[in-house]
Amino acid sequence: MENAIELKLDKKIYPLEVVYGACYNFIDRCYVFLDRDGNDAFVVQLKGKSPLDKEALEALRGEFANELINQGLRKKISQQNQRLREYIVSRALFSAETLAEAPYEDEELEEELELDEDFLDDPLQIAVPWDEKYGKDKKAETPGTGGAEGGEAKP
Amino acid sequence: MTVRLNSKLYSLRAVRQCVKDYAELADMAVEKSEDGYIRVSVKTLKDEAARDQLMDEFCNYALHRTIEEKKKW
Repeated sequence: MENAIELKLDKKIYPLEVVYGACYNFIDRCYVFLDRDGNDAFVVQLKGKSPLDKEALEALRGEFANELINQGLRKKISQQNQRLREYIVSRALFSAETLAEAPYEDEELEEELELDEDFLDDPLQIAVPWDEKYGKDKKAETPGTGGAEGGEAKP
Repeated sequence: MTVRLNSKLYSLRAVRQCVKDYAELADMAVEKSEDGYIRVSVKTLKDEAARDQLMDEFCNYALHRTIEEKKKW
């Protein structure tokens, strides 16, 4: 095939998932054709979308090989972390479930709230309403209000 | 013109979907042969000059759809 290179990949070293991953990342750069060679190998053909010289084709081959290793490593790490990821997700879901069901309990916060109940004390009786404190009939006795009513004022 | 795609690597469903998507550009037929390949043959084409490019793009698209269908990452 013109303007193309071919790679033969051992199935044991590069599983299909890895080959798919690398091909997927190269689809926008070149034409990718995938085939099998017997039962033990894959054949990948990379064809330039525009005419490429020999050096460019070799560079493409090298980059594809690097991408295969990248995808292989990614798969391996993913497998190693699989249990941990599952554990984190299940813990997160479990926590969310129990929070939704159980009433909120925080002993430290409750103690703090009990200590702060001093604010309910009112030594200066600021919270007592005016009528309750002085009464309607006591209005005249209250300081500053005696002559303001006008009833007892003399000409 | 016929393109052969390995049926163990390319999904038949994805290839059929690609043929539908390319219906405006070309009239194609799909069949699964006994040798383990999916054969895509072009009957008529809107732009004969772009035949090779169209088939290359078609193969890329078929691979893309297959991977999208199978990917787990």
